Amino acid sequence: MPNLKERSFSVEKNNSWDEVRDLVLLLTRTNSAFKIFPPEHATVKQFLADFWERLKSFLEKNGCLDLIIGENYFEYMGEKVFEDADVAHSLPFFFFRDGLQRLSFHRGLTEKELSLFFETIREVAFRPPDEADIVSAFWEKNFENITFYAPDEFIIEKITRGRPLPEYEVNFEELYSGKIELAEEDRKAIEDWQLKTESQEDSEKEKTIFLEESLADLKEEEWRMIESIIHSHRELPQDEELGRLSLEILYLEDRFDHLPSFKASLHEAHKALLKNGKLAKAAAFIRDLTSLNKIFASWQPQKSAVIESFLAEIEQDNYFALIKEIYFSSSGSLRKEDWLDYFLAIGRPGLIFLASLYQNSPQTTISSLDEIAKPILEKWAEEKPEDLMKLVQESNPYWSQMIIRTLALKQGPKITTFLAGFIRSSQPLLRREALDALARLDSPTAKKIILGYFHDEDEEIRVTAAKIIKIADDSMLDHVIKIASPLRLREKKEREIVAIFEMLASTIHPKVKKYFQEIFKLPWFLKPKNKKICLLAIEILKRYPNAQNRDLLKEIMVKGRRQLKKYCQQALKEINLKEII
Amino acid sequence: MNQRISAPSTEILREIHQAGVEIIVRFNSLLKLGRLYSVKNVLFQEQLGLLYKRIKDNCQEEEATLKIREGTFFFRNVRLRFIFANYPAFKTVLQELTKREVAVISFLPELTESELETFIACLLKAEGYNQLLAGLDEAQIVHIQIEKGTERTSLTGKKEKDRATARIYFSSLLHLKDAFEAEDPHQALRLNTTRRLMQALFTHIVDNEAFVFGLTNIKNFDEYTLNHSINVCLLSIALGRRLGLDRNELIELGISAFFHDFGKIETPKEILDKPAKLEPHERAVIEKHPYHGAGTLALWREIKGIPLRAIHVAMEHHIKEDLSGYPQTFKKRPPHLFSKIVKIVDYFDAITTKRVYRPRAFTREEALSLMMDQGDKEFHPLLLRIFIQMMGFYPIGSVVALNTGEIGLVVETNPDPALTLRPKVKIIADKNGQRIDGPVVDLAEKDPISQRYLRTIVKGLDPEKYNIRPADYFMASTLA
Ligand SMILES: [Fe+2]
Ligand SMILES: [Fe+2]
Repeated sequence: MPNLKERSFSVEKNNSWDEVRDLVLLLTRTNSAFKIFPPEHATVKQFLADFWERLKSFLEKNGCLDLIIGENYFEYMGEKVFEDADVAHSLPFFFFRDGLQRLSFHRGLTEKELSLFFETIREVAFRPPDEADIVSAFWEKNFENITFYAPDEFIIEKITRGRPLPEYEVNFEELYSGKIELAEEDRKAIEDWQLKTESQEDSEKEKTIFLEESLADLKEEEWRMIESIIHSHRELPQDEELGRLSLEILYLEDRFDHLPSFKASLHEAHKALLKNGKLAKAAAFIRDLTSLNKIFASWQPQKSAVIESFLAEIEQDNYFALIKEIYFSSSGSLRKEDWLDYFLAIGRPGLIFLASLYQNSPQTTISSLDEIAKPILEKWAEEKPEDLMKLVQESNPYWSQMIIRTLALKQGPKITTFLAGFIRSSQPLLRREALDALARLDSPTAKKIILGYFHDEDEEIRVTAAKIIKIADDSMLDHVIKIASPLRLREKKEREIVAIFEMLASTIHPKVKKYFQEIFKLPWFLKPKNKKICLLAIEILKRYPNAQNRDLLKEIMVKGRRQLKKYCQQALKEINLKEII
Repeated sequence: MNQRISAPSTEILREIHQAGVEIIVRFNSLLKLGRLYSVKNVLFQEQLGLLYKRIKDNCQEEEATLKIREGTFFFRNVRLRFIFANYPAFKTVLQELTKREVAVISFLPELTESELETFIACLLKAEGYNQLLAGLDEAQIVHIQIEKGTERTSLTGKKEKDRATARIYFSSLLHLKDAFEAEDPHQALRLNTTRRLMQALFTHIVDNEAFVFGLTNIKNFDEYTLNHSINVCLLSIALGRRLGLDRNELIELGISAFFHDFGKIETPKEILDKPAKLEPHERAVIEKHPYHGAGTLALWREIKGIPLRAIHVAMEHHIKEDLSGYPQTFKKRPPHLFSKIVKIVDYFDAITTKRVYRPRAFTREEALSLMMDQGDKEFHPLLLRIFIQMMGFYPIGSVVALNTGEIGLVVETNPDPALTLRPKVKIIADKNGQRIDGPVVDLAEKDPISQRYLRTIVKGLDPEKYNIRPADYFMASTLA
């Protein structure tokens, strides 16, 4: 008769063995599914749901599924319920080799817990053998309704490896025979006590009151204090602590032969901070290290060498891979200020990383990089402009553009030479940036360099060059006039012609006047392009109504060809009208 | 399909947790009162009413279960975390239930107050599971159901249990010795094994704490540092447990304490064991062990999975509460909680150990009062108080003179703070001073007629003075 009070574990033997066999088979299959597919895979979910349903109903009936684990089998109540010929790959062996002897599922088990159980196995199975320990993993999970048992003997054997345990010897003779002669003061204390037996309990009370101060339970607020200490230690960021501890150890370490390998710990600490996206903390770590470096420089040069070698190694590829991953996966969640802080702290590698980020960023996101790069480049431009110049790369145009832009804020022959180099750049972006920069420089050389841009293959750049150049001397003027020869003009489009004419029209010089006179002599017959050029010239002269240009217009109106007179007259009229208004 | 609501809110979880803790505490009171008075006693009835109400509130719609799994209580699927304030209650209820192999108690919605009363009465009467079951059956209790524990192959007797505990103690020693003596640290640190060892130690602390404390009386076995490290490890786990650290934290605390003096590998033996006062330069060499240990552990941290906290502890266990101590680095900062815990235990174990340079060790109770006198400069005051409470006024292993003239060895402290002066002692010499293999007596026991205590401690004795080796008595019980 079933007992009401006890939820019996005993299976009604006749029909249950098969049920348990099926159940255990399902357990191993579900486990296989977990190993093959990711946990969210439909197959896994199906297996899990099926197994859980069956197990749940079994547990409802029987309270517990209690499996004994053998090398390649599971046993239930003295019967083998699962056996796998392939010992090494069997689930029982996976448990067995870590000393797990018993595994029990209890009523109350949830599907979530069961899923975690399989996930734990999967996770351990994929670890390298000497890091994998299923018992420790189960222990850490501390399941509510899955219990296990691994005997001490397993771990004792692992420790002793065949050696005997240290033996503690007790001399029983000495322990249980012979006499203890109490010293005078101890004997007297007992006697005194015995004399005042009446008040024995009172004196104990006194003692207890005396003890209370130190032994009394902690007060509510004292408990809260303890709890908050524990809480704050739980919250301690491990990565930051690791960083701090590494620095402290480095500071104290006097076993110099350990230092080279200690460098690996510094990298580990540094990378841990980066991996967690704590750029500001990583920056602080590097800064602390740098200041330690200063302290060590004269005191313990061996340590300085380690620090310097560490800092140099930040430039290596594996760091960049990490930085790249963090930068692109954080998708803007990390503050720009922190990136800035970090790149500034690490120094030169920061520049290299930035360069690579530019190289790897899609154009649409470049502007956010610019915000980080600008202050860093400005700092370098201030301190070591030559280093920056070397970092320009044709293949990394946006990055190089930023460098040009930053360096252009400075003046000096070196900068001019640097910028001059871009005339032959294959990147229009860089030629253009250098042109703008040259225009801002206050140097005659720079202006001459700009002339080179009139031959640029890019019309846009040529137009810009024409717009920004200021003709400084005769030789420049000669050069410009040569470029503006009618033959060449005919090959250009209107906007470039306009730009050239504007440049000339705003220059007062007899050679300019002569130039235009020649232009107006161009024959029109069957040459619409020449007509167009002439009309544009009139239009531009009108726009710059200085004395020289007015004279020119008047002269053509009087002496020029019939078709031209009309246009010049009209232009002069407009100039006059504008002046009256 | 009637599935349970999958994710209760944190508010509800907190309420369940609170209810669970209160149920354990009231349950404990009832067990205590039930032993002193009849169940019809006013005090008993008052507590019963409160317990009943709490349970009823929690099993209105469905049964409420209280489970024990691997030494942890779960109430309505919520793991109960206890802190020192409730420690005696948790410990007693856990002991009482596991003693009777009860792993689950389910309270059904129709539960009545009289059923609860009978249940407690039955529990008090029953010695084992079957007896309890029979008692409940006879009393026709239907709304409380119990399940038997299946987790551990329960060791039948105390002796077997103690023997198992001692085996794991000496295994720890061997394991640490291997780590200390290996040529190659890569071979030396087998953290997977260390972790498993800590789990085993934890289990023994949960199951057999008094005896574990007894074993910490073993001193200078093999090598001082090894033996010392095991003692510090065990007492640190026990202290951490009372603070309410979780299981995984306790394992890390154990590992940290285990390796706290790892840096002493590098300290020359002549200095470690110098039988005289150390010269300043020798002191300086000793004082390197924290950062040598921390440095070595840090080197292997990633490869071996050494917890970061172990590095903290190795580095900081000689830093005092006022931040003095050693080693000092470029920045002063408060030590990690684990370092503070280990510092207390380390200090205690060190001064209670006889060394060539310390020919007379402090007795355990002297050590505690000395530590108390150090004030807040040396130790964290609250942690120290909890440590002292844990150890009791006469810590396990103390030798005491009784008013009967007998000499006793403290083998178990009384969990009731009011009875801290009344531990359980093993009589090791009769009133004539004759050494005997005497019984273990409970000093809280009273004469049923006069209502006077049968035995009372007059004073603590210095075991050294009488050539008494407390550890031998604990070990003897596992050997004979
Ligand atoms: Fe130490
Ligand atoms: Fe120590």
